[in-house]
Amino acid sequence: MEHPEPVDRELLRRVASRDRDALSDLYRRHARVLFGQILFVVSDRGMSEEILQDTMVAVWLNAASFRGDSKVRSWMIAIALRQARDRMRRHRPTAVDQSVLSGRPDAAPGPEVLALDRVEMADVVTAVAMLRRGQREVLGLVFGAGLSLAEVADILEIPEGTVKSRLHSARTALSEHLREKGYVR
Amino acid sequence: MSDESLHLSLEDLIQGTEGAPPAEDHLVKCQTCQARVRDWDQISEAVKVAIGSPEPPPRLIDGVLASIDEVSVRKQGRRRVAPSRRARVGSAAALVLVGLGAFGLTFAFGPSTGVAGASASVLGRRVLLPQGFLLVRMSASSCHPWAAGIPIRMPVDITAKRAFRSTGSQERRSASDQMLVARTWSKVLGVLVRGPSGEQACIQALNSVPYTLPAGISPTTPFISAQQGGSPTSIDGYYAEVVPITVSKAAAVSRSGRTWTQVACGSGYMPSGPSGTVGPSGTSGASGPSGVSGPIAVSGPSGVSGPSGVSGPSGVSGLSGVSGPIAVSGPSGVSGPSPVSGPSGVSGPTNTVVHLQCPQVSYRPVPSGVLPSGASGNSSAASLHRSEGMGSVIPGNVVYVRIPRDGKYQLVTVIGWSMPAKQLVSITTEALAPRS
Repeated sequence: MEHPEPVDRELLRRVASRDRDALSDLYRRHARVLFGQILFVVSDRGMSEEILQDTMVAVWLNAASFRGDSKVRSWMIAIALRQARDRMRRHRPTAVDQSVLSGRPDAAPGPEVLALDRVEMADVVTAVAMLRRGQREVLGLVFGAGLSLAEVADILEIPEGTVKSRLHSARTALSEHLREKGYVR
Repeated sequence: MSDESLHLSLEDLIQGTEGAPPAEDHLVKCQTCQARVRDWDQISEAVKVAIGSPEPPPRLIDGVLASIDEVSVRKQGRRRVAPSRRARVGSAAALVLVGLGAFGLTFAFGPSTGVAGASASVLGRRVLLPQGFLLVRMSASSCHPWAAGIPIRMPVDITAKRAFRSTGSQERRSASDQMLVARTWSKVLGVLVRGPSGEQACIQALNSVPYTLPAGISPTTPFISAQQGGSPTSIDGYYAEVVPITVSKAAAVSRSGRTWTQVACGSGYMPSGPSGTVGPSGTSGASGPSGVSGPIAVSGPSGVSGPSGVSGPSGVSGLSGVSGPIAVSGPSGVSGPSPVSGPSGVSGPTNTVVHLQCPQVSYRPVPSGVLPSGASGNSSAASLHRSEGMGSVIPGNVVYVRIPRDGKYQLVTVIGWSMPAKQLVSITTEALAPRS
């Protein structure tokens, strides 16, 4: 889907004026990218959905504060990643008493099925997953979201040089893993 | 291009040189930069694969809109999630299941004991406890009705020790290949034993309980009844098959620092766990015989079988560190309504070379008697069991195969294979395929 910036800015302007349809439109245009970035970082689908929801609420609340220094999508990704970091910092598994379990069948595919589905890409995912979070963030933004190094630096609020160094270190680590698996010469 | 190195800049390398003629010209001539571009391209592909294209929930925006309605009502007050979301969040909790043992953890379930209010399939489960490992705690989640906690020695240790050797007669793969399989499956295994991953919300029981050795059951038997845990109605219709492994002979060897090895068809080292190994410290308050050692190789099916049922907790976990390899002889498996008959483990000296003879047909047709009622349609599972031999076994690798039935699942087999992952996937896919 094309994401012409003027359209995004107009939608965000309407969101700032409390246009719910505009928020839905923004969601449709960017949710996939946002969700991919969040999931890539937190590796938890349920949590990613919550973060995406929080992100959209934050967009609603802060649309008026958008200064236009970056693309709307970059601005939204920055919000999402901040939400992800906050959430991961305070995330704790919820435990319940055993009695609560009764009568709660889980209809989702079992972990076995999910695991088997992943086997073929397990090498790749494993290698990427072994990177540090900061490295994954940079890789995801550069290669997943297709952002420039300057945009990544802006989103992550780090110097562009740090983006580059993270890319290099990620490449070194990733290449080693993937070379073992035959993905990289 | 970078002024410093006369090579392409990082931006050029990762974001292309289109529209930048000098950089394009340089790339045509510079093999170093070509290699770097290829490198980055491959990494880019890997990252894209890793990210995938996850579909965000289409109705999530409804929850957002509901939330902002509340925000509006509250005048920027606290945000609340939409009811449907709230319910979901309430049910989302994590998971962490269990440890997994070196030689694999195999489950076997028996028939119903007819306890009112409980699922037939839940009761009478048995745990095939890897010898040398201590079952100390049991817990459960809504996705996994019960689980056993045992000292963890992940199969990745195999690769670390480089003691993983190909001894299978059918396939001679390089050690590195097998290590790759082991490593891959160790990752998959992590998902399995963790149970619900990011994609699945399960509720993990807060409390686990000490495992209680049922009265009359020897601590050296690998078949030990599991206590019931979790939800008796969570997942119905489970059964599992115990895969037989035959140890034809065993001979002591020096320790030589080995702490780990494979179990395979052929021969291999089968070192014991540390004598007197205890489980997670302080969790069970376990005490009991440790470091059980004894004569080698009791042959013949010993057939630990017995009534299904769940023994009550006594607060004592008496099984500790059965050391010594195993020397199991005689086929085991699931037979008839008596849930499990199989090898009785007798421990022997530590660090022993064992010679394993894998049965021609490792997977037996599942007798209908062990299937939960209404599960007779699992012809695919039966054929799977008939047709697939076992090349070798990677200890600790456990494969769960569930066959959907009536919207629920059945656990078919828990076993470790050192077969290529893709082959395993095809087999399990076949098993999971819808049947007429």
